[in-house]
Amino acid sequence: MSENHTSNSEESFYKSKKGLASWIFTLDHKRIALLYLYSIAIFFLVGMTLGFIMRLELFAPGGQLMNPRTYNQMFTFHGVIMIFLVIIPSIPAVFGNFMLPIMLGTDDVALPKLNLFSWWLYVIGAVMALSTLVWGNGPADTGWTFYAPYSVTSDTDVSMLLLAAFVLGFSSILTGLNFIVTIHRLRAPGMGWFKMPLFAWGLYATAWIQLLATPIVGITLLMVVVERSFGIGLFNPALGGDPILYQHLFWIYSHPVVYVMILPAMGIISEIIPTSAQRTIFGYKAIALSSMAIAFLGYFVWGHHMFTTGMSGEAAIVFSFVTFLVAIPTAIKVFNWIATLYKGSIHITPNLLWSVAFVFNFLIGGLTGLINGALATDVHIHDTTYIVAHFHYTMFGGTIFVFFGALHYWFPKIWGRMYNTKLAYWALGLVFFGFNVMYGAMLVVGIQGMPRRYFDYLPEFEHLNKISTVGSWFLVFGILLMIFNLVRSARKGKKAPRNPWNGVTLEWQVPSPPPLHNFDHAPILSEKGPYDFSILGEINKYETTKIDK
Amino acid sequence: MTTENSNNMSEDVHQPSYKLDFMTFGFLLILTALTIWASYATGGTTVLAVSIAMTIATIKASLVVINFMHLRFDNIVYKIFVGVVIVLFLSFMLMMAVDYAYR
Ligand code: HEM
Repeated sequence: MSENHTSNSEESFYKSKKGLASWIFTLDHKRIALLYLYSIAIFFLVGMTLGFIMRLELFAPGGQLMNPRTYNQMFTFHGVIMIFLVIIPSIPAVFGNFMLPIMLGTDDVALPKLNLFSWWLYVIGAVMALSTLVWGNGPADTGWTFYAPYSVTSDTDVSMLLLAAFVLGFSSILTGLNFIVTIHRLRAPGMGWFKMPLFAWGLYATAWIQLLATPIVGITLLMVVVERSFGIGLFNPALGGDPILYQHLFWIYSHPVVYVMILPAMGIISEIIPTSAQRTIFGYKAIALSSMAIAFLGYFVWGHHMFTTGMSGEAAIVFSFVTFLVAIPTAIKVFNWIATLYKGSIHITPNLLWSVAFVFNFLIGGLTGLINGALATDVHIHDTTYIVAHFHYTMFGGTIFVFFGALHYWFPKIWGRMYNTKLAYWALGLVFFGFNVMYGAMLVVGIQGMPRRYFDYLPEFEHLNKISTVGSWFLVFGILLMIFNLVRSARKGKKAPRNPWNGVTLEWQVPSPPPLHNFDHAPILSEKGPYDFSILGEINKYETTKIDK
Repeated sequence: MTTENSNNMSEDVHQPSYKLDFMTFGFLLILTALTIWASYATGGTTVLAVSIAMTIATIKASLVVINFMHLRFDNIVYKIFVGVVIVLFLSFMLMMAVDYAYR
């Protein structure tokens, strides 16, 4: 690496090679990250459109736009897209791929070919899922959970969607494997485990879940395919199978996977908050280890999705108890973030406000989760729109809000340009308002007894459903405004400096956008850990871009 | 950076032993025969039969991982990883057993 302070001589990774093939067969972690970003963005828009149409259907009781079967297919497809094609890969595959090697001070992930392969598996899985739209008996109508025995008997094209999820699972496993190897073997000399940025810790904990839990759902989904194809009685009671066994196997993966969604997001919050407060993070070790604790405890709580299935009461009590334990490491993080902000020299930026909005939404998601985790109350709200609102508060208000926040935080680094801050605030405001109106109303109407996965409802639920649908208009408008702002700024925004937010982790030491091999000078590491702001002056010495204020 | 790390690989070099490989193979064959015998002796589908078959299968899988997949020669980190996986798997079985036993 050159020690040249004024080196902008190395071209950005965008310019290192040209042409479509240089993108779809690239081994550069940054380009693979962008391939993921664009694919995920497309599927997010598709999923969002489906959600928007479902909300329009629910604007008034009775059939408005579709028949019940189409509604069932819609929420199934919306769920599968949002879970398997958007949120599971989202932060690890995009920001993990782009930032992890840079934050560790290296030039790529440990296994670049495997990285590209995992994106190709993603594309193959996506095409398989989409093929059910035009193939066979139409897309599945089982819900994204594919519960047996209905998934075994439904005449829609369930098998193809299951196989698609299987292939997508492989993609996720490979990303996780890559990150584990990268973190173990490619940290910059001098970067011990507890000198890693907290985003890397979040990704590390996540990667273990991806690696160990995903095979279980893979096999389970294949078992349903085998049962559908050969009539072997695994889950269908009519053939001697056990439907509750399906739910055990499904949730052994699908609960830990909610931590695949949230842990990297929490890692990003732990990056944005110290940068915004210009001070070291409060409780570094506690945050790092709480990620591992959440990942570990998360394996033992799956039964809380099954309290009303007829599972034994004894098992339910154990699962309920362990569920409450997860609240402890989660609260540790939230308190540490707040303590970091307290008396910090806070710089308000869109990325900080997205993070604060996340904490707000996630608190609602977490607190409503306690009501689900308690045996007695869960019986009442099980399978109502309260549950739909609860998980949108955690997954959408949580992970996707952080994804949007991360887009704003790392935007200057990825595209080398700044965005329009005013529009960014407007978009955030609209999304935050629309989101809370839409899902807040669903929480309340759920407590009143409105079941989920219904295309029709009783007249007494009409008022709140109308409010919820109007909320979705603000939400969708805000998202489109945000995308417009970011896309336009990526092409026309002001040139970004290396370190627009005065961060101290390694990604702020490389040019914006980074060159192919990332670093143009040896990374500067502080003895005192990754959030030591006393080295800011030394880092900013390398700034070469003229910033017009 | 990359080169420094890849040098660590050389520490893992070990001498393969054909004797150990063949002994493992022979033992696997004996265990297979034992599984077949046990299934006849215990009636095939009883709880006892399944338990014996699963126990033998677990021993066989462990032999393959330790000797054929060279876990015994590996770095301690990998041994810990495998240990964690086994603990997780047993925990899953245990928690599901609580449901099945009391349902
Ligand atoms: C972008 C705006 C979104 C809108 C308007 C929306 C709307 C909806 C609606 C109306 C339902 C069906 C409720 C029912 O009848 O039970 C639903 C279900 C669901 N949504 Fe969303 N949603 C959005 C974003 C997301 C995101 C970001 C995720 C995940 C990351 C997500 C995951 C799910 C899942 C898993 C289901 C359940 C599907 C099922 O019941 O099988 N949604 N959503």
